[in-house]
Amino acid sequence: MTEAERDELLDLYLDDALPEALRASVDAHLAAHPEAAAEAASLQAAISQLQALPGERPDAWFTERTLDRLLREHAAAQETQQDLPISK
Amino acid sequence: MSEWDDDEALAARYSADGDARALETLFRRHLDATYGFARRFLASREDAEEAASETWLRAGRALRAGRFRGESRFKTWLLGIARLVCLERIRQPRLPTLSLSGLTETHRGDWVLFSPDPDPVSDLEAALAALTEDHRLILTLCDLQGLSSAEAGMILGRTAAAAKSLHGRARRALRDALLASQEDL
Repeated sequence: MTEAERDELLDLYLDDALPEALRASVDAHLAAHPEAAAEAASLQAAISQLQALPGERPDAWFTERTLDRLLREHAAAQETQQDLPISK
Repeated sequence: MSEWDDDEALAARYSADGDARALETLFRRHLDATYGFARRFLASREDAEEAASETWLRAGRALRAGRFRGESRFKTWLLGIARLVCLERIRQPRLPTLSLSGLTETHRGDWVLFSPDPDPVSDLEAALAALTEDHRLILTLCDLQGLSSAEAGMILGRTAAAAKSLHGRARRALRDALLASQEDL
């Protein structure tokens, strides 16, 4: 198995995307190889930290102002469409 | 699932009938994602707000022109527009501006005082900021916005396999940056 293939297998393992049988064999490998287990643990810690990062939200006034602009453009586009002559 | 729960059905409804309620529902559902995505790439809240706003105006025009064809999830399509808007802003030559980002506002009588935010940047934020743009982009799309590697690949113009490989490398680069910051302590 190449290093890239090992990395891909570990990524699938950490994303809980492996079939049960393959998952069990990765578990067994990690139990027998402390270096590989440490590598998996450090990667899992980084992923968990990243996925727990709170999302930054825009201010409420910005949301309403942007929606207002969007709906004004929508209304202008609707008016332009209604003004077009009906084609035969 | 009702039509109102389904983003792609709402986008199609707006394109076909010009139903403003469909557009508003999509906007309220996805503005946070659009803004959060832009915030990872642009230096200030103001820049991210302008980029998010521009993304939605372009998305509205594209929907009215029937350019969303349902070939991807609506969110994937939308973040593809956001990526282009952010890249344009990053490449745009800018005049220096005064930004109030990172400043805390305090009111003292008639005065408003601004001082640097008390919270230091976390190790994670610093590690993310130190990554290459491609790595930060794919981590943002997959781990923060919940897209699959294949969907991120559509945005990045890469095959699903290439995006998956990039995602793996980006996660390792982030892990290495975090470990390096802990060693510096």
